[in-house]
Amino acid sequence: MTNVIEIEGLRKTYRRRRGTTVAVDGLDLEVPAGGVFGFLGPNGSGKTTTIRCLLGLARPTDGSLRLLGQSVPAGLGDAMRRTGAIVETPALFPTMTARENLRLLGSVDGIGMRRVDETLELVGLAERSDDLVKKYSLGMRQRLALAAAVLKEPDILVLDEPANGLDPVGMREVRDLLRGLAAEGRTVFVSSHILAEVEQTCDRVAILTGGRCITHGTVDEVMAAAGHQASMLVKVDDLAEGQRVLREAGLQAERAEDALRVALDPTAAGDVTRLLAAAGHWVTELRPDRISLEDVFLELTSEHQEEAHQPEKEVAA
Amino acid sequence: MRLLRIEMRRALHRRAVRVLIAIALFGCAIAGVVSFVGSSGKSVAELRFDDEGHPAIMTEWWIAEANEGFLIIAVFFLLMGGLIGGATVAGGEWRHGTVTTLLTWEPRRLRLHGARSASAAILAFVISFGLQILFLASFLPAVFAHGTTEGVDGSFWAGLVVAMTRSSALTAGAALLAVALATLARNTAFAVITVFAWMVVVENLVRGLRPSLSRWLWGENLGTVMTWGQLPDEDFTRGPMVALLTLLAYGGAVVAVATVSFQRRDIAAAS
Repeated sequence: MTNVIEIEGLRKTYRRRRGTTVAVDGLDLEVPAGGVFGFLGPNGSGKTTTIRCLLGLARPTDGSLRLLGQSVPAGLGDAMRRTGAIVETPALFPTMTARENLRLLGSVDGIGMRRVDETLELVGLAERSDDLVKKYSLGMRQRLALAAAVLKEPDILVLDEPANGLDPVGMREVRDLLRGLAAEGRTVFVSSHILAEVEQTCDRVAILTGGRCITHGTVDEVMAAAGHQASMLVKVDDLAEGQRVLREAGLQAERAEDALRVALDPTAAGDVTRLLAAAGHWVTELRPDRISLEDVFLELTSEHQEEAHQPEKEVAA
Repeated sequence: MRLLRIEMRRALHRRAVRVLIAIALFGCAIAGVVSFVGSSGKSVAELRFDDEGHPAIMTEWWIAEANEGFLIIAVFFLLMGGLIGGATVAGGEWRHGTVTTLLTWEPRRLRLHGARSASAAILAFVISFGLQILFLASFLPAVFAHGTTEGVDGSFWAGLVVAMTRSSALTAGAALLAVALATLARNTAFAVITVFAWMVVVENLVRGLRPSLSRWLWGENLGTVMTWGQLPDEDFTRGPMVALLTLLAYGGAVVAVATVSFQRRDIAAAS
């Protein structure tokens, strides 16, 4: 599988009055082509700085970046023709209409009006496309920024918090749009704080804290790496007896409040009910014991919080 | 060329640019009314022998031999307009963060900065030329109703067009300088305040304290280039060509520093 983003040893520091702040600290990251890649991290973890370096908006202090096989910044001219991007707050001309904004941006790459109208339709702004952007709500501006990013039908979308300011309906539409783009074979690289959204949208994730990537992989891999196995919660009338039966069958079963936590993928629920029923214990409730990506995220990032605030992060000038 | 056209359209969408043009048009209308009212009831002879001249006498618009005329009135305002407009074009991009959006479409910063600077200069030139035409045209009612076109010949028009071209070029230079300064500071106000502080405070201090250094001042060099003649100033002995080269050296240095700065700096969000 080819990588559309390759980051090696990325380091970015900013000079401050009292020393140097390390925003990204030796980041290594590879994003394979296709699918939706979630780029997660708490505030100040270096997500936006990484995206800025990737798009040539900031100069790395050290390390190398490649976007669509092109070296950054030398090959950005070619790479950006196939890349759509939103960086932080969407900024478009407030005194132009949405259509004019897109037409003007599109004309940089020779994109015609038909594609502009298609894109406005795609993001749900067709009816308001002739309104001035300064009259738009934050959510509408976000949609317009998204339209600007997808306008050139890019191979890769780099989106920094694309769901900012969107209402639940808008978030769902964006989620569907991103999934749709991924289904077309494009790669969507998205940074977000809204972890429930990420979990539903992304195929792979990377979690950053203190400017370093602490884990990456598919959502399941990240969950597993955090030490969370797939399990299910089972309720029977006699928990002690039920636990004994399951353990005798070689299953790992622990008491969890008023249920048993069985370390088994929920797809094997039939085996558990069969075992318990055979021993005369009727299952009254059985459900997957899911932990969310948010739980994993909080757990992993809190482990690294202390390290992130070590004195070495502030290098005296 | 595509990028240049885009930058021009973006510049023309700036509210400040539109307001400046509107103010200039209003100024032209006022100038026309004042000249018409001021010339009414006067004979051509009275208008001709007015101490300060009168725009109802068409040949007073620009006297090539003396390097003076009513056109000079417009030049000061055009330079100010070019400065503020240019600063707005660049500063507004930083203020609203639109520079970030555009760089995700055209990441080659030199091209972008070059297109922006060129578009500001071209627009300043064209708008300045157009406004001068309107400014002078506003005197036509006074000319035809109360004044005269006597003495107007081919050499008058040639001299006038050359002077208008020169002042338009200076306006373009002011816009270019303002784009550079606003790009350096990522701020519109910085560019405008810096130029005014330099021209009004620093240059006046130099004139008062070290008159021998006046040959290096923008004001004297600008005046010399605009009139394309020698200034009646014993401390300033430069001719127009040397004055032009001096201005180009100043402008070139600022533009070069701004270009290098834009090429190398990190682009932050809206500032």
